[in-house]
Amino acid sequence: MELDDVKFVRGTSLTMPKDWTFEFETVALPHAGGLLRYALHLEGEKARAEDLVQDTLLSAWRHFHQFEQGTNCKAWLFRILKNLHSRQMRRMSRKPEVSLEQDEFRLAAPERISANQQVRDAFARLTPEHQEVLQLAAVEGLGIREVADVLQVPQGTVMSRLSRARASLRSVLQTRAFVRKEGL
Amino acid sequence: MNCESVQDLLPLYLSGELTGEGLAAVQHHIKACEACAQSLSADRQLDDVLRTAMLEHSPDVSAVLQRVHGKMATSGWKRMLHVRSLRLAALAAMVVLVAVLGVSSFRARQVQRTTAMAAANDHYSDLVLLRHPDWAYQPDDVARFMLEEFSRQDLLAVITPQGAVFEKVRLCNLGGTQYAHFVFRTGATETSIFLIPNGQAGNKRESIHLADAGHGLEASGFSSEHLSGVVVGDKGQVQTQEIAKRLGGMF
Repeated sequence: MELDDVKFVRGTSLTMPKDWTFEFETVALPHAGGLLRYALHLEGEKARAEDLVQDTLLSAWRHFHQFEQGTNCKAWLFRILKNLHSRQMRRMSRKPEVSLEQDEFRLAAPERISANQQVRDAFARLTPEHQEVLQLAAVEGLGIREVADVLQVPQGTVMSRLSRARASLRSVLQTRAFVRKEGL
Repeated sequence: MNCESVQDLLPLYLSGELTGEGLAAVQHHIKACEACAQSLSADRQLDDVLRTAMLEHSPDVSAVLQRVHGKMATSGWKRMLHVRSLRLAALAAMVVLVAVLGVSSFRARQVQRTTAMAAANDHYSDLVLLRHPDWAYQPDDVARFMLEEFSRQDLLAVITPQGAVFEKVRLCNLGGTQYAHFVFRTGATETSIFLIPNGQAGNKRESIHLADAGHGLEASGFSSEHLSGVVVGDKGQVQTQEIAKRLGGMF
């Protein structure tokens, strides 16, 4: 087996002008998974979520020279995604749909599903607003200021919404047997 | 500071954004107030449990990445047609190279690079920046995953780099695929080894080395008959290429 050396030499990029390819691939593309998780929450359907992530990444790539180096690229990408989605929603005036997958695990028998799936099940029972704030803060690890920036609401609103969302999730989880074991 | 004020600030405290007097006041209160300390601990644990559950069920992002890489390349070609002739010569050479290799394999390789960079990013976020004291996945989940996915009982001993000590393992998600993320320590240096389970590994023997994977890290990926993985470590301090080569030849 031969190991080949892929080196990034500045100024020789052929796929993007102004030599931003390396930076973009390093700091932006690794967040594609998180973007797709969030897009699925917003769109509720995989094909549309994938299109939204693609549009987000390409928009980010086109405007990457405007990204402030040293700030959180993940938060910047999530903001672009949320803006694109809001624009689409305004244009199409449609409501997000609930995916079939979510319905499937809502109906799964508790004794036959794993602890992780029960948590996802409980999460799916929260309001879209609570799901969104938990997804951004707890799952994706954005800070309060960054979540406020993505959602375009005051920080205080994010903090109170997050507290209520945690309380709601805990309340749903406490009806499950495994929670007693986990001590939540 | 009373309990109510502390509860209001807990979201900021949990996200690590509380600084100065606010931080000192919350820390002081938590030391003395068992109820608030328990509340903080419960919130932190709830977040961990949720993160674990959601990441386990992450969608596969490789198809989107392939499309993005394809669009970026196409867009790049168009723009580059306006540059000077010297660069056009290089462009023409690259076009021929891409045509020979095949566009699909070129894009697949881009995805492989992105996975290696995602691994470096994961290493940087979890080990350098956040220094999570406890990893999201519960020991039972990891044990079950290891047993189900990796048939070799001696896996840990076999993959441990020379002179290093195993520190911890968790499950993580890179580009929609579930990886086991092992951390080994040699003095102050941490090496991450990401292994994809047998069932998901491709059977093509391929490798990639990113001398600069960002954040002062290097990354080497490998793919053998039964296993794929990425090795990440500090640039110039961890011989990621050698470790990846050894692992690729071993499985």
